[in-house]
Amino acid sequence: MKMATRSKHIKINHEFIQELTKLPECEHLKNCYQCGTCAAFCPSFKYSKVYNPRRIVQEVLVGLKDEIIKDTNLWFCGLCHACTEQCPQGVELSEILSHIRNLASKIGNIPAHLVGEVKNLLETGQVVPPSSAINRRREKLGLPEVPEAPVEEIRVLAESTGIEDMIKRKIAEDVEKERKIAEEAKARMEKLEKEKKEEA
Amino acid sequence: MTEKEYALFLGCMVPNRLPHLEYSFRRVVSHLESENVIHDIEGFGCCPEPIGFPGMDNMTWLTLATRNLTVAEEQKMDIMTLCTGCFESLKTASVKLKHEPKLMEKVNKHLSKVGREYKGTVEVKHISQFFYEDIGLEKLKKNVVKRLDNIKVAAHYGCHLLRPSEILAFDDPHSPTKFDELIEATGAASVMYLRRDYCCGAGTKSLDGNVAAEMVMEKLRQIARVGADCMSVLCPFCFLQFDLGQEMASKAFKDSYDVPYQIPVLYYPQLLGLSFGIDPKEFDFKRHRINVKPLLEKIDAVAVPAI
Repeated sequence: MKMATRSKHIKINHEFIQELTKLPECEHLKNCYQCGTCAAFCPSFKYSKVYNPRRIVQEVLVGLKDEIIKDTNLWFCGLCHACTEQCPQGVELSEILSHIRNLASKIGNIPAHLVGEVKNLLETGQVVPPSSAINRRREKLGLPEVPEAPVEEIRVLAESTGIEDMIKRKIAEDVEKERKIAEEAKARMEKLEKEKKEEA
Repeated sequence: MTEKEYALFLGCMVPNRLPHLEYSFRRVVSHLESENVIHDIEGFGCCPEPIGFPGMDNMTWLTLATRNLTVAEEQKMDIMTLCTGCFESLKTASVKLKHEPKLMEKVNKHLSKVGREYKGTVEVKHISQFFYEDIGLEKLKKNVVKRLDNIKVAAHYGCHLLRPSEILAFDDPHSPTKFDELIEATGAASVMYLRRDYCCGAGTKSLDGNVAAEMVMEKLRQIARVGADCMSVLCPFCFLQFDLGQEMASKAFKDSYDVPYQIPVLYYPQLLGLSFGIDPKEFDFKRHRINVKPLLEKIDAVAVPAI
């Protein structure tokens, strides 16, 4: 009979569990008894098969902060709140996931389309920006002009809450990554060409 | 008793991408002669969207939502939204801040940098609530001249109107009926179907188009099974997902499924407007990717003139 061996020791991050349970909107986190009702109702779990709300809560309860916040699958959740609504224990899954996403964002785990959203917001005040083609259509329909969003106010607030900086850092990180990839590719090409010449 | 005055919150998806949905709402409201309580004011920005944005930074989401609340508060008005996503963002901010004064303090600290302060007086409604509560089913029925008696409509409530029910308090989250009642005011039948409470998948679309397409196909499959003539939505994201998304998903799944679905999608005010006898040409239906003409022809053929 094969015995299952635990090759990896898990170090429980108690601070992480405390951090979340202290928040009033996550106060029922510890009530979770892993029944899986959330996963049963989650459409993202059903179709992506990689995002599992029950497992996320389990990992939180075991304190696996570093692993969770690096997981890009966190962003599969569409915040339909079916999990929160169905949970028999009152675990506030949507809030807990949002908070985990906030922690993930701070280390640069942000999907590209959301970086784009913030960019649009800072440039036009809206996540779906206006366009002249649609404005013409509005005119034809007799609709009033959409008032310009107060972009400067929004920018000041984005600076105040720190999201502007966070996104700028993320963009800079991505640019740096691309630059490194291009550099390495160039170095490889140069090496190959040198080897070709030496052979000839 | 004075009537409530509302600042119309257009959001961004409707005015900047689907203006014909906005038109249908304004048209129906003017038909009901209720446009005097709805005002267009300046100063609103993005709600901001309640799915990805709070994931990046919760405080920014709350602060920008509250900023919008202060814009209406300055004019002593409540807010009415065209989109259920905007409804969730703005209502969540107003409810949370009402119950957590410390949170209100934090948000107001940020808002003070732009000379704003939220005092906690704004109520937030979605247009479906305006039709249900302010106008009422009786008045809606009185204005129906073309009863859609033989039309089967599949109602899609969506997620951001019902859940989290503790905060949004629109209707029973598990067995809602208000949207069905609104549909049935036109004479149409609101049909039951499996997966009625399912999300449209718009929230996952930007991350993985396949997951979103599967969600849409599942809903369409169930709606087709019950023989619905069309579906009705309350949100522009759901609209896009089921209209443009239906076309895209049908192409993606053309080898897996027998029938490419042709289920027209109507934003509720469009359905209401048709029952009021408003000329369909006004609604700019050619913008819909799924052809609405067969539905219009059926309505003309079977609609019962109201006495």
